[in-house]
Amino acid sequence: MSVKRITMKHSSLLIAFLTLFAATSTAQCRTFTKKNCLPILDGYVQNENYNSAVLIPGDEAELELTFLADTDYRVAVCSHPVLGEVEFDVLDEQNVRIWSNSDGSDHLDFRMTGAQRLRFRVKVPETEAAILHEGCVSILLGSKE
Amino acid sequence: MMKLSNTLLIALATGTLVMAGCGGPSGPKTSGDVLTEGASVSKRTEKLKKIFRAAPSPMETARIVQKTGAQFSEDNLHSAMAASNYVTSDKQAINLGIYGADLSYATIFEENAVSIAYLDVVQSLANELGIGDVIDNDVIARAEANRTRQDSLVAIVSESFFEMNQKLKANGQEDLSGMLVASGWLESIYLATRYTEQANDDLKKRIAEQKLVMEDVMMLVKSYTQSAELAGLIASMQPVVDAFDAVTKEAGASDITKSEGAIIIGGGPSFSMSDEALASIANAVADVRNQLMK
Repeated sequence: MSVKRITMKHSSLLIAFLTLFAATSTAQCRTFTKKNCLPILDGYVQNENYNSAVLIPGDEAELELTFLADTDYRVAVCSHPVLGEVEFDVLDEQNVRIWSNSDGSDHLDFRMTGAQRLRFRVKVPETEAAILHEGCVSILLGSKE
Repeated sequence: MMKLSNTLLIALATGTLVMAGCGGPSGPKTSGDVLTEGASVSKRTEKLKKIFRAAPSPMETARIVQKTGAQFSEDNLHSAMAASNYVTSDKQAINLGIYGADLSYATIFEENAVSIAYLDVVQSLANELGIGDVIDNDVIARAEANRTRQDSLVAIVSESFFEMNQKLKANGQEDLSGMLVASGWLESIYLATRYTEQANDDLKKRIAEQKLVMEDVMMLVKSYTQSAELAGLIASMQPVVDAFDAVTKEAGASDITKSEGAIIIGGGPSFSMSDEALASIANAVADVRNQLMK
């Protein structure tokens, strides 16, 4: 067996292991979201989109979405405790910040009088720790009449 | 050398499998941190900005359309009998989106018998796509048991579509998830525009506002990995995108007030369109829908 073939075989195996590892992270994130985040939407009907990602300190996530008139909404930002207190703010179409979770809240309840696209910005705080942990962050949407 | 290499690989494989089997790696912990499901030690240090894309669901659109006093007719729904005609996964995903929007409308308009019938259709297409476990017989039985409770049916339908989207993405079929979302939106606009001659100002305004949702949907589907079938769907929706060009949008500042713990977001942009623009949106949507149902 040539050295080249052995290297290729090993590279393929490594890629397979890394893919398995990434898939495991994603699966963990889905389970985390279902167990820890969906309950925050209690009383609201969840939107059909699934918005979750594995983030590290210093990462940001953004969601832009149209909210329809005469509807009550709850937007929940849920993150794994290993990431610390994530910052979460809401900007309108003109990029004006209309709310932030300075009180540490994990959700915002609001009602629209007309349709408007809002931007939800989530920032994972930086850390000085030598070891960087990654954790799941989810932005979930619920609505009701 | 080769022996060492193989040993390392076996060690790595074993380690990875152990970590996967335990629900997370048991790497070093910082003080006070308990690593549970959903967290692990990062292999990257470079920061990223993750952009999520989403769109309002057909259920949300159906709800605001119903509030305007719009009519519902079962005759406007896609025939349940046609579901077995779709044999390729792209056609199944597209028509799953269409039937899903029909199901949402029937549920919001409290046509419960229709809802149950369309839930069966959705189940059969989901089975064909390999995501049938989301709507298993227990879900159908729960829907049957709650057929007179609209809030329960709304929750069952929304949860099911959330799970199906999640599952398609997890299975590496993001393009099918995109097709489901796009065709679902299209069907929700089709149903909203069936009686445009009798549409009141409220309904016209709500349809004009869908210009924003159309943009959300297009951004969402374009952000997904482009299979030939998804690219084809995006191209086929262009007449609808063009028809929405006739909707005018005037920018406005938001007006924030508070009421009982919730904030009320008023102001913002306003949307309007002529009756001709509404008719052309209705026609474009019907044409594209008819193509997708073939």
